[in-house]
Amino acid sequence: MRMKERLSDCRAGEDFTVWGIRLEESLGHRLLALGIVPGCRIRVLFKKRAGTMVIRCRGARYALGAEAAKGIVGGKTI
Amino acid sequence: MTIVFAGNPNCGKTTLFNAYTGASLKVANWPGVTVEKKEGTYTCKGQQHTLVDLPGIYSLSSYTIEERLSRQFLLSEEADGIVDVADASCLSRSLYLTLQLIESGRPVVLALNMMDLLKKRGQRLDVERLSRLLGVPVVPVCARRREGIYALMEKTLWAIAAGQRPAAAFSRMEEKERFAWIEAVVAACLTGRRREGFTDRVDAVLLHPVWGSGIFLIIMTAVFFLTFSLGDLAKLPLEVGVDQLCTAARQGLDAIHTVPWLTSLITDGILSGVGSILTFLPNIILLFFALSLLEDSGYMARVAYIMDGIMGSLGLSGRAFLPMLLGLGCTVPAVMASRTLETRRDRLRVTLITPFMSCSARLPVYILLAGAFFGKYAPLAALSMYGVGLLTAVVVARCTKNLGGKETQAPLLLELPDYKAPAPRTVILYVWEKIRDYLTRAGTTIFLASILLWTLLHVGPGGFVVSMEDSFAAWIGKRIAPLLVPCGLGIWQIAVALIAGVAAKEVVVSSLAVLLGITNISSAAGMGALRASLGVWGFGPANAYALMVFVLLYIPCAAALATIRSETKSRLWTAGAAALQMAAAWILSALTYRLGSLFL
Repeated sequence: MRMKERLSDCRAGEDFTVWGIRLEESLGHRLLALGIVPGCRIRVLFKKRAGTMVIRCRGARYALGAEAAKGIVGGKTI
Repeated sequence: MTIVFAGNPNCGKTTLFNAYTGASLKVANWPGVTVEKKEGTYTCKGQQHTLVDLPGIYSLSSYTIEERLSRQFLLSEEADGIVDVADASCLSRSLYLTLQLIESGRPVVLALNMMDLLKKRGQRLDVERLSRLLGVPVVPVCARRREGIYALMEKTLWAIAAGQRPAAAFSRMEEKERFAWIEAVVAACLTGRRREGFTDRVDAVLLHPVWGSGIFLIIMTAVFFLTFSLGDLAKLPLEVGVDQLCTAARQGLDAIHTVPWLTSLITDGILSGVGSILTFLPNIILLFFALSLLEDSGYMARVAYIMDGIMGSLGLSGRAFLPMLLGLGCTVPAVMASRTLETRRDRLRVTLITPFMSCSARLPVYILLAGAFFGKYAPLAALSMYGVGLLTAVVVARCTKNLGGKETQAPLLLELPDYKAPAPRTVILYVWEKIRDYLTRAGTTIFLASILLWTLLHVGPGGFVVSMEDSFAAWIGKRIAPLLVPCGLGIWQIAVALIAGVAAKEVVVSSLAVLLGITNISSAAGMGALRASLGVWGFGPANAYALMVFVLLYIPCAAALATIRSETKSRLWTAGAAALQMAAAWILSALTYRLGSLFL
């Protein structure tokens, strides 16, 4: 198994599989409602230097702040 | 029967609601357009039903205001049946809410919107199978083209009549299993591989880490530049029209030997005041046309991503920029849009800074003053107001960063919709709504303000006055004017115009027309007269610029204040916001006047 990484470590164009969410409850619930739960796959479409990214998950596209991306842990998928 | 439309944000609930009820509620291509519950009626087979449009939600938990409101209503006794509107192009996400709605035990019908988009992507969906697996009726619709809406209503009424309470096979599943179940259902019903397309290619350019913000700046500059320059061309025929109307009215009133005071009231009061506002209609139309293209194309939501870095340094998420952007049209809906923000602290701060974004009502003031005092640099001078407004908002946001405790800001999380060609119907409705608002204001607020002002100008303590200097208006203005001397605005007429402008900011223009007795003030001749009559007091470009800054920043109009009051539910906060705005206006206009006097 690969080392644990955070979504914020991904670069644009990389795929990521979520293992866990380490965020405060209300944000965690908002992510859950979008289907961003352990096991789901995320593709990073675009990323800014400050860490804000555009991701795709379950067919929808989201803008995600850097702080939120730091709390999503998992592994890069190759 | 009461039928509720529920679903994810930006899936087309309001479009569907409008199709049934004939309402023209605002729709656009970004999540969070609808912030209030709206009701309407629909008659089917002689029976009248109540339809309810709710703000979009992703789940029935209660972590956001919209979710709480929607949940409350959906689970109340009032809702007889639920139409769950889902965006077929991202089905697996949408079905999470669908499961929760089915579990609520009320009759649910799933309306699959945007099936055309799915087809365009080369995918096919087995509707029958989906319906069997979910245990609820599924109806494909196209809300934009109003296809399938009759079938949808029939199925819904049937489901309500059947009192059908489908057994939920998934009610004991954990969240993770639930999504696995949803993925399995979608895999069973959806065939064909998704072709990635247009939106990602456009985003590669518009969301570029380096050029992205530059492109946004260019787009906004272009919007306002076109509003000023094209609008100026389009306003010529209107000026001629207003001119002819005034001349005709004067001649007509003279011909029937109207008493002089009545002629003066009608021509110098009403026609000058209202007429001056009407000529700015082309600018207003152009501005809202451009804004509606931004909103309906899908670019609007992306601005939150582009601005996230800058907003982050102010302690706000990029999403807080959306209300500010809406504020370029009108402060009232912009303040209401602050509701979609996650924490109360963010909402309060956004209501504080949004009024600094220059709304369309301030446009006539810039066009008039810049046109009269800045010659060929007029568009530039007017454009700079948007920069001044934005900078002030940024500074105020920075200063209030630690206000209300160190509650951590909610990070950005916002769905970005697919780009689409703006729907002509949506754009036309939106612009028409704004034209109607503008004309209504000209016919009510500005009409009344002009009459009131004319009266105050011609009546003094001793009845009718010969010289305006003895009127009530002058009396009031002369009390206020000394306060405005440091801003280069110490003229009683300007003080009166500014007070009147609290009713609506366009009133500053109509009041200047009435106060200075200039008919058709926005025409070349009118601007010349304005320059000449203010020039008597040594009022030059520096003063004009200070006045523009003052109008930009000072106390928002009565309607905006009322909205801030109702959104924040705090009189104290509203009063504080108004005081802050007045202080900002006074300080910055004094500053620009001093600086301007050195150069201009």
